[in-house]
Amino acid sequence: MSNASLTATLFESPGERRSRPYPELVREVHDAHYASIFRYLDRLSGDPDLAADITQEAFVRLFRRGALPDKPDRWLVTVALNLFRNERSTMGRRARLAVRHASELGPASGPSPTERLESRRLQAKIRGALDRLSLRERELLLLRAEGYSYRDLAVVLGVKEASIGTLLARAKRAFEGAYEEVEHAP
Amino acid sequence: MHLDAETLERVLHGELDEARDAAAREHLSSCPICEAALEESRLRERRLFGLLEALDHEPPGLDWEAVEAPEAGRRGGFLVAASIAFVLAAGILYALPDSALRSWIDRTGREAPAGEAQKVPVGAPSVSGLSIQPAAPFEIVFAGRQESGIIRVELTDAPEVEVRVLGAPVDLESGPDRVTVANLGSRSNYEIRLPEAGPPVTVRVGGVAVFAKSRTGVQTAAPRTESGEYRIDLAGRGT
Repeated sequence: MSNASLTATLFESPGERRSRPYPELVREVHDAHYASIFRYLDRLSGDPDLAADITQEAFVRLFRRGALPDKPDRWLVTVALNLFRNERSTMGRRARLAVRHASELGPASGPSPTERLESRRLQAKIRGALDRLSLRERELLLLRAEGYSYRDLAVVLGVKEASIGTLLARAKRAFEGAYEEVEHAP
Repeated sequence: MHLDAETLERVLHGELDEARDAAAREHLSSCPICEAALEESRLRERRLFGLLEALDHEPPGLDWEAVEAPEAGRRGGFLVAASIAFVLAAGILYALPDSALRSWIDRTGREAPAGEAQKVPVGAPSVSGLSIQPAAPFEIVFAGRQESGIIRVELTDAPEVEVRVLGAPVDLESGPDRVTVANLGSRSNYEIRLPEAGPPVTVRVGGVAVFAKSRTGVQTAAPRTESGEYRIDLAGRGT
């Protein structure tokens, strides 16, 4: 096989997807996965501004990549997790990107003041329970909540696929225990 | 004998293969204890995931100008030729189309829209590359020094190791723990991107380690540019 024919074969497969404008493909990935990745990072970090920044940066990198990975959602969430871990380890704040700050938007719903108070209490309890888990347990649990397969979880988190179910069961028990503790804390 | 936690979770999430799923369901149909455990697990998970929704905020939306800006200023109607050299072990390789090579494009001021890679003008510079997600210590092995040529190494937050050949095509061969670059006689330049948080990576030229990235840092005699890249001179000057 000549270089030229190999080139054509590689670039033409898997077919139509590669023949369409790349920005269009990125927008499709955005429509399918942006909300889930933002939600995951928001829940993981407890910081919607940070979640927005990291999600933005992950899409910038996807765009720069110039070609979609086989599993764009898994690629994006892996990049996002690396960014989040770097952020945590340096304890610094990434320069803000030009996105609207999620915190200015408030919660998704528009409840009454009493409901908002109750909602804040509930959020504090859930946040408190999540914060008592190890980072790995939180990452695993929250990724599963977004519907990632065991294979994806294993690849993204670098753990053995054969033990994902056990780790998930453990993480859920840990959350329930932590939630009980937070609920009954004075 | 009851189903273990791993199996129960996998039944719950549809993550068993057909045979094991059938065996598990047969057991469940005759074991009220496991059946109850599965149902309880299902309800508890539903409650847990439902609780998480209380934390959610409206996604703010992407700033598309910022996403697309890096290439916006470079659209000049030129075409960067791209070709893939002989890329072996194709199952674990990912051939990089030309438009992925933003940094190179930035330097050359040219661009190739995705999907037009087969339009390779004769005599134009070519780009080849591969991308691998390393799971263990990894090596990038150049066969030897060149008469001229630079390797630029950049640490990134992406999960993959990327190796790109800028110039005349060079054979790249990949295995599970290394990429071999058959660069003898070549004058091409190279770009290497390494995941900062990934496993250790060593770059060797003619058997000599010229760059090593571990989890704790980088070891190299190569100078680091203001933009954070390391420049390894393949002609041997300064490394």
